[in-house]
Amino acid sequence: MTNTRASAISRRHLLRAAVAFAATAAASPGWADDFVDLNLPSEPVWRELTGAFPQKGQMILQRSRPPLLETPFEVFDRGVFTPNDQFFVRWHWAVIPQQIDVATFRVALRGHVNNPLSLSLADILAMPRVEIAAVNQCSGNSRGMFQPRVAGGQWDNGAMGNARWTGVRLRDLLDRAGVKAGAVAVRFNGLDEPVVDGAPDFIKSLDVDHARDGEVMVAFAMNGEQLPLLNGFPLRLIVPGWYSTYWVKTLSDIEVLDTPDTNYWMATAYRIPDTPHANVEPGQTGFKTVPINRMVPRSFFTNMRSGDKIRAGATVALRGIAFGGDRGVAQVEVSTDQGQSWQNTSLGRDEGKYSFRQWSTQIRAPQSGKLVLLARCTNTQDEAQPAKPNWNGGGFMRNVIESVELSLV
Amino acid sequence: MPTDVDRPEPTEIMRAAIVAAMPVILALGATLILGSEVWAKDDRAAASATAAPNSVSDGGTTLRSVSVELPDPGRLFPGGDKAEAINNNCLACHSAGMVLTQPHLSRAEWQSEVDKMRNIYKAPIAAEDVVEIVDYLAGLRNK
Repeated sequence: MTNTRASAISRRHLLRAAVAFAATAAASPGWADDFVDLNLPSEPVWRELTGAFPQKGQMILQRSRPPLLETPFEVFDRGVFTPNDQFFVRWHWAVIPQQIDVATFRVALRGHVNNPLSLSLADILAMPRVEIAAVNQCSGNSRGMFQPRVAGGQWDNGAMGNARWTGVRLRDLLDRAGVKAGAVAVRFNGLDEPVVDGAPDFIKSLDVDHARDGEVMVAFAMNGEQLPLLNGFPLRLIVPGWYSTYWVKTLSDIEVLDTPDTNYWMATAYRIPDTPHANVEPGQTGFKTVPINRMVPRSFFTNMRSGDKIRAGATVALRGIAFGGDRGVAQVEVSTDQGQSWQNTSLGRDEGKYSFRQWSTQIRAPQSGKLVLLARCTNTQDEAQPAKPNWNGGGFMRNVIESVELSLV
Repeated sequence: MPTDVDRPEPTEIMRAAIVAAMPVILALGATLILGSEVWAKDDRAAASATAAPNSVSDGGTTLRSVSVELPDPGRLFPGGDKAEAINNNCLACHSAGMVLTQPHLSRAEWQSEVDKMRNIYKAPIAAEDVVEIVDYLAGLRNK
């Protein structure tokens, strides 16, 4: 079946390359290697593939400055850990550090603490370390699929990745600085800066209890290597089970607050409706909002995509990846009858509750017509993906059951 | 070039592609003739990472200093005079690509985006340029 898929993609690609050129060359900075069709609900659907970014392999170019680079989806079929050089990239501001000297870099711990600290990378490496496999997913992953469409980065499903993170517990760092009684939040800043004075620096915060839960960590390694600069070298905050907006890159400042954080990136941006699935009706107003927080379960097909052709009546091997959000994966099921019935799949090795988990199964293709496949993940809290897509103006937290439509030959 | 593709029976999609691509091909040709560096690939070589000599090691982990260059985003918003305001005001903070790949947005939605850039992100856009920028964005034909 993988041969079928490969040839189908290359055929489509050849036929449409010229269309892609026409559609996206106008937005092209000129270093495109290739193009990819993101299958978005409306134009423009083509994006360049680029290998022009430092320490990164081939990526889908969503924006060159500040960089928004999406992982080509076929990468997720190769294993549950996303290679560093194809891990998605998202920066808010264009002033990004381009040189980091490991001998002089410091991270500060300050604010509502007894002993303000300025730690070197040598200090960090000398501390007890922990390792955790965790999915890092953009709040707006899959925003491009929202209908009605919403403004913002038009991601397909590739603004996510899974890595084995190595670093030190944030709790251990906070204990070294000595958090004072009355602390309510911990705020994180990185080395990136706005271009224009007065624009809000990108800073994020967590409640102090969350920051001290022993799982939130400051990572210096990703899949056993130092992080690519565009993924946050030398230090990145890791917030297992929570959206990427909290995973501050090039982390340089940790500030303990004794009042709630009212900065723009917590109080105004990255807010979701305080409703089930963060769902509202288009045009709806007057609902309460909260900062985006925990992730929700998702599952994907990785060896099939819509438009692929399979033989009528054939046994078809299916596989994909899933994650439970802020919990482990309990099960992944597949449906061949629009969700009337579901069959369980086999889960691959458990790399930890915050990790991608591979699933696989086999189905029998019908003799005629077409075949619509659905995949549904249920996490260990018994929370399953919804059948109906959510909608909100930010394009956040999409986790509807995914489908692929195959044609029979 | 699509017109050179050796296909005795161009499919419908290919015909559409050829027609759709022609203005871009012509524009690209003109750009090259005019000697613009918009399409230059010189930056690609500079984009590779180079490690400075410094490193820090402990516990089996070595971190090495990094120096990288990001690729030059290069191009302008297309449209000549009609794009003058957006090119003068917007490219200082972000490249054109993500703007040009937005889905169809209403004029009110574009106005709201430009207002956010001015009021929250402090883009120093003169009031008289705002209308021209919103006109340009509302005129993007992304359906």
